[in-house]
Amino acid sequence: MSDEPRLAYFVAIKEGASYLGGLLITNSLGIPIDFRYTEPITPTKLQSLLYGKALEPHLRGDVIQKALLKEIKTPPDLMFVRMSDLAGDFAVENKYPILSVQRSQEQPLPTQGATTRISSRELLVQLSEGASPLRVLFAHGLTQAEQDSAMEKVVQAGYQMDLAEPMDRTLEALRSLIHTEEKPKQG
Amino acid sequence: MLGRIKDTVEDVAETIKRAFVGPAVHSAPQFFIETPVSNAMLLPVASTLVAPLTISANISVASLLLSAPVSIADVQFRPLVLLETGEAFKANAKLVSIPLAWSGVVKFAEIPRMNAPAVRGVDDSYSVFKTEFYVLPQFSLKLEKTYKLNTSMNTPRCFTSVETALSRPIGIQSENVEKISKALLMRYTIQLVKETRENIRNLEIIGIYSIPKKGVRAIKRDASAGLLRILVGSEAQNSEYNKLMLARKKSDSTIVSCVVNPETE
Repeated sequence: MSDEPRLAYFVAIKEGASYLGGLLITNSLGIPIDFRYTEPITPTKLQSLLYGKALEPHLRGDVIQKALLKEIKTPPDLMFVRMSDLAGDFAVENKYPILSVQRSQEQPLPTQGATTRISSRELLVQLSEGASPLRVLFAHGLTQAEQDSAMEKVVQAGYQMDLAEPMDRTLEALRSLIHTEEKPKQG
Repeated sequence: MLGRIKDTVEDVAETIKRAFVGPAVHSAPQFFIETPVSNAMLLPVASTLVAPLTISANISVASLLLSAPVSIADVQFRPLVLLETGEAFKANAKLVSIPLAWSGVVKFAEIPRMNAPAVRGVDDSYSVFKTEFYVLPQFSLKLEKTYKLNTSMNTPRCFTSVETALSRPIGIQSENVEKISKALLMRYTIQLVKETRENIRNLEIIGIYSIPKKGVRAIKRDASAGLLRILVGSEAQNSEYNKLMLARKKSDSTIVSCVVNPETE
């Protein structure tokens, strides 16, 4: 079991004026191994003014994400984030590749495991027979070799589980924590 | 002869006339005005002189009795300033002395002409018009202290709750049936037929799913997503896996399932 790839799913959401994030670690089947989340952070008015448009990327990448990753003892093999997070200058951790996956509407590729490169950091990969290929977007700063290495893990994990599905779970779990009065235990 | 007599008679007549004529009366000069003061005369020497002057004159009676006309030079004037009520000194006027025709002096007040106004400096006594910048202490703009505000975001506290993550259904994807070797697939199919007691021709394989051996609480097929949704407990985290084979009966479209073992014949 210890040789199984560990997949991390990071989500940061804004609830009112506060931000909070969650990190789900799963095994290669998508079974949760660990789940961490932060307390809500409410930036002050002064901080909002001073950071401007950089506030949200800074909170997601530099504050929430780093705080959660510090809590993880074993680093993940792949770290998945939402597609919108990669649109900006999302912080890139060099320890593990950061990528986003999304179900596409493209025609299926001829064989399972086949990939088609769309741009320097975007690919289509066929993981399940007959279904639409999965769109994979890598974070800035990953070399071609790093992307290829990460794609091998993506294909390996994608044979057994739906790689996009745990992201929805993480988001649901995070939202459920906001609305429940569950007393958290600090970890 | 008669002429000499006539002249003599006229001389005598004249002599007698003079002997019996009264003392000579001279009209005083127009500028002598009697004042209540005895033997004192007021002299309005000039209209500009504000302060009246009272001038006393000593006139000898003997001279008045003389037949000879009184010379004005005999009049002794003693100018005396009795009162000065004007405000001439406030107007920077100065008194000037002008000698009269007779012995004596009359003083005039000479008022200076209007000169251009003097330009005063800013530091003269008219400070009421001076503009000066005063800063009240309570409104001082001086920054005596500067403050540094920490704008960095504090690292948030983190919590763990695997239970929360486990409470969500997990979507399991089927293995690619076409990738499974025919021998292994045949082995799986035989196990399915044995367990369901269905004709193999009546079964249509949907998928083969890896699910934990322990901790599975619920299983539901999500046809739209092509996933098997399972609800697991914490026991599932370190559990081994079983392969769950799903098939649809062609006769009534019902779903049948069987846990298959690659080792079992």
